[in-house]
Amino acid sequence: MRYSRRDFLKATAGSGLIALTTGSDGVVAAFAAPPVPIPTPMTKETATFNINGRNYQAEYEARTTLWEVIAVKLGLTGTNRSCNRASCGACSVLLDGTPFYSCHTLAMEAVGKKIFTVEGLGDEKNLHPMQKIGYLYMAADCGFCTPGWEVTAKGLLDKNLNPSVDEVKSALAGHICRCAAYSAIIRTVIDTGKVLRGEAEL
Amino acid sequence: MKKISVYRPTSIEEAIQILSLHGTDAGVYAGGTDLLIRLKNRLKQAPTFLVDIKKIGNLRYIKETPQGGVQIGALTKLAEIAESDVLAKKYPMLVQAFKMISSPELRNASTLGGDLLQEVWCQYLRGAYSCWRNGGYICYGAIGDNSYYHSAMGGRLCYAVYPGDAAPALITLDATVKIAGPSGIKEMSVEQLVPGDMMVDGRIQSHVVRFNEILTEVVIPPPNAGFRASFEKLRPRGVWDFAMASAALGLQLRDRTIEDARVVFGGIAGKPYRERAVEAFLKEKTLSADLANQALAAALANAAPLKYNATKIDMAKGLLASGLDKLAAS
Repeated sequence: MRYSRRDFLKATAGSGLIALTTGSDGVVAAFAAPPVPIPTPMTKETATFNINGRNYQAEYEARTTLWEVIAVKLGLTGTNRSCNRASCGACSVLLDGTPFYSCHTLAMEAVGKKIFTVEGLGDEKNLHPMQKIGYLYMAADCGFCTPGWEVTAKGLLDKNLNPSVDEVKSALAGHICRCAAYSAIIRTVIDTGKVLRGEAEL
Repeated sequence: MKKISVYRPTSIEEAIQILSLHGTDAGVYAGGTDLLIRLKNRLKQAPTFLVDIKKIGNLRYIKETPQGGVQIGALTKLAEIAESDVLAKKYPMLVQAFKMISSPELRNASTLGGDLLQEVWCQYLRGAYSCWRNGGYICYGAIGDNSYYHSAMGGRLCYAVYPGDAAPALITLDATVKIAGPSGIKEMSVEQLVPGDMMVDGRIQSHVVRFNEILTEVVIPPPNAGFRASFEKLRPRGVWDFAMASAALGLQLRDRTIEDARVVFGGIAGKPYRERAVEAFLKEKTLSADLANQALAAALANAAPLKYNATKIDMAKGLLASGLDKLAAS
């Protein structure tokens, strides 16, 4: 049997890619990677988002953030985006009951999860107790940070209906209010807990 | 934000294959809290291809080893570590440190591996200045405003501080990490993992994980009887901000005598700064209220602050003193 140079090259190509890597200790290790086809990466796709119990279809790019899907593509403009750098908390939403900054979560992370935004809390005809109490205590001054902390406070009250002041402070620590209505916000959350427990009347 | 493509491998082997294919154009994506800022500010070192490793099933766990230690998967969220009962019982200091990382929302998103391997938070790098890490030939922190997040212990090229809090706390506990790469699994201590600004694969980074390697696990050895630890942190805003200085302290006690000590400062140097002079001083000393003052004299003797950040050294010394005082009082 004769071996030609072409046969040898064919056999090498068939046995898979030979990758050379240098370990950080300087050892050169050669290995034959299994010939598994690498899938094409995702750049754009369409998916269903479950927001406040309703399903919405949206097309998004890999780089699209969750806030861009909620507020720009789907038009649920209650969720505000302020810093876009995961600092201020105005854009918070709940994913399966856990608060996340929606400006700093890629849209693909929220697919298949239950998204809760401030629209799910109440509307002008039917305010949530937190919104009524916040209105009475002037917890929303300019109102830009309000959707964010209300949603996070809802997430806290779903788990703990009787939070202490320190628990409210540590749960809402990721939110900045430029009007500095912090004391009113904390009182609102604690008194909302009282109303939801049935200990106080609105 | 920069245009990206996302791969979703289902096994570590596949992820490593994709990372090897794209080289430094690809990056591991898990929590994304650090990565998305790099993409939004369009830094040179922001990857074009993200490898989403969250589809790999077995990287998110906290489990006890038969010897009594704990293994933590790299994809475990910081919030899960901060609220873990197992860790709170075995390593209360670790839980205390993780509760002080960032804000609640970011702790829900970011992972342990990401916290260990995060990029520095120098305002010049994050503002896409062309500094050493971003493809340029100058450190703006060394000559510009360096009052917050720049090294007070000297530097080589990049003067930004290593920002993480997980690493100082884990070094105090003698933790090791496992790194999966094309040639198998490497093990190293956390101290070896983050040795400060290093040229790796043609990029300056704080850690030694190469472009085609993935941090998979952190292993903490079993706690000894008589081990006491504390974690102190100082930051401009009481939440969310990175440490201007932090001090992780671990003392192995026999009655009130210190048998072995670990003193690790965070936020003052390009790496978690292990202060061996204080460790040597504390050995065979008796824990007392007066010990903190004596230890301060030995601490941070080779400090080299920049123009505006000499105060970081005072902060670090103060945190060491309050940590020692707390341990002496308890």
